[in-house]
Amino acid sequence: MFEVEASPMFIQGLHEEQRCLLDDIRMSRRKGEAFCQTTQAAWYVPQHLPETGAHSVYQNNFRGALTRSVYGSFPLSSRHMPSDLFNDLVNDYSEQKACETGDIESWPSLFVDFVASKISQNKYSGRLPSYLPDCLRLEWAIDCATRASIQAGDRLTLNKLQQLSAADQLESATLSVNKSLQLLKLPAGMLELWRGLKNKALQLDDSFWRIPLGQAIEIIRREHVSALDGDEPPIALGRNVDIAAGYYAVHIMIDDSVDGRRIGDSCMLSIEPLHSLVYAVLNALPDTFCLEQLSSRCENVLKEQDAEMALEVFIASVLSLMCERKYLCLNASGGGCEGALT
Amino acid sequence: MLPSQASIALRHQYMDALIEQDVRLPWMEVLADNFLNIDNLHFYRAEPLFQHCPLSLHCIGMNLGAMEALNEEYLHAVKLLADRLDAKQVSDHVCFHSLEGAHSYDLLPIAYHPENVRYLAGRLSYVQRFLGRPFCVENISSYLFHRQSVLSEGQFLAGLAELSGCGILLDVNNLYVNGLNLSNDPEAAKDYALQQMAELNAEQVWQIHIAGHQRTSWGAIDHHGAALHEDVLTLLFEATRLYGRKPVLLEWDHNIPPLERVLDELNVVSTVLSAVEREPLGVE
Repeated sequence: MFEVEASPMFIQGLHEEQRCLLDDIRMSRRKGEAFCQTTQAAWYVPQHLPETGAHSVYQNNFRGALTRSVYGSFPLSSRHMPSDLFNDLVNDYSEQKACETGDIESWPSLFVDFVASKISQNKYSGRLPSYLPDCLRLEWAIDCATRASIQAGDRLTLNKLQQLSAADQLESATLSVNKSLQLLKLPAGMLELWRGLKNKALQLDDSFWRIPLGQAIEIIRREHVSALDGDEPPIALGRNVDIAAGYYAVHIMIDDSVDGRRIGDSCMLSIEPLHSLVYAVLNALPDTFCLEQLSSRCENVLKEQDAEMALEVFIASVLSLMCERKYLCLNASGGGCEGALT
Repeated sequence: MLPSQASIALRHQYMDALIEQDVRLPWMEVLADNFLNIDNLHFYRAEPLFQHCPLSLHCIGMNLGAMEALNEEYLHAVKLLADRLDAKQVSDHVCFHSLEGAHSYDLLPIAYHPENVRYLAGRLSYVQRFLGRPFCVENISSYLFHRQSVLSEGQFLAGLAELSGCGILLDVNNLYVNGLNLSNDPEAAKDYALQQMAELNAEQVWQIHIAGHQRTSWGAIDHHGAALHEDVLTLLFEATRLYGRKPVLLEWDHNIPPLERVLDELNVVSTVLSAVEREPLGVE
């Protein structure tokens, strides 16, 4: 197919113009500024269209992209906060933390620290709730986990699992929990929280618990952070955790309300039920493990929970569930197990 | 090949609704940049939809009009995704968005100049060869116009298609918005769009995009956040009359309504396409 090179002089000229236009869009702090002289010499704005108007459209789009990136990473917090306050936070963040790369998804990574510093300085007239950084941290962990890559070729699917010979292949294989779930094993994460976010748009239902956001975050911290830190024993399951028919179910409803009055749509972090026995196994597995370790952990859980179920059936159900949900990777090269079970 | 029918672009706002309601589309556009990290939970969430119908992969990151080298890493990621999804077409825009790492997160206009036709055609040809799949480029909406543009938008696009062997993804709403921004007159804007369309032939136009825009006191903002304007539907009718039936895509990017409303609007688009076929031959 046709392929020629344009003249270097032409390319060099346009290169300079493109750089100036980008600077105009990215650097201007004030709305309604005119384009710089180089940009004006290269591009024209039709007579009926105010030049500052054209500039503003591109500037707004630039800022809008950054803003949407923050809103996209923190969907619950942004809906819970008064919109003017959250907007101010995002605007101030974009003023202070320039996005230096095209990787806009990573740009909100410092937003949590930024908000925490504002709270410690008592900025925004003290309107920022103290639990906000925790909520943002949780949402950022979920956002990272959702985007994190899973080892594609190694992914163990249900079909693949069924085709593995139990004696020759499965027993010698090394399995690993995929990266996205490894992220959720961080204190503020957890498997159910990701799955809960997936269902955040569920319709409000009276059967779900309604818990103010601050309380919800406190619950998450108490249930997971303390337990994982090992500083204190996990507290008994309280009102927020419903045990019914052997399933965990945590539902957190986030309400845009002022003085108890609803002012907007509600949003819910709904934790999908997960069998408590399976949860107990998943929660204790290291990132990489072999079938023997899984078997040992399953046996312990059955004993600890005094559950009447055949070990083989239980192992099979745990493996099936993890494969069905695409949580597992199979290391075909084997090589033994890493990590120790507790 | 994509079927010459109207369809919609996948948006996460109604992704679950598409899955739950088992909506069968004749084809679907997938925004490549949302799925470049193929094996993550976000990808798996959408995966059931990828198996139902032919896919067109739409990109915003190739930066084809930038005066710097193409981003090979990005192209590799797009190729990987296109191969995984077996995309029937891949597309990006006739524009630049960044230079030397400084990003505008927008589609910025380039000069419609013969030198630039040569420059871009070489790049398009390279991308199509690299991807090993049909590749087409979309015209953008603009609020600035380059002083070195000696070709019309339509002439520029036709030149690109002819020299590169790639196709044109013709956004008739973008043509109309540009017409409004150049004249602030709806009739003149329609004329502008029709003039650009007349520069292209049926073989060059591979796909058509339509969307809503926001009318302003000075022109229009192409925000893809409103219902289709009747002039855009008229232009779609004229484009179909000119080029024959093509795959048509209805886009929503802001104020995205519930799926039902998007599908209702899609029915309107399909009705317009059918109306062209019912029209007696030879009518001008």
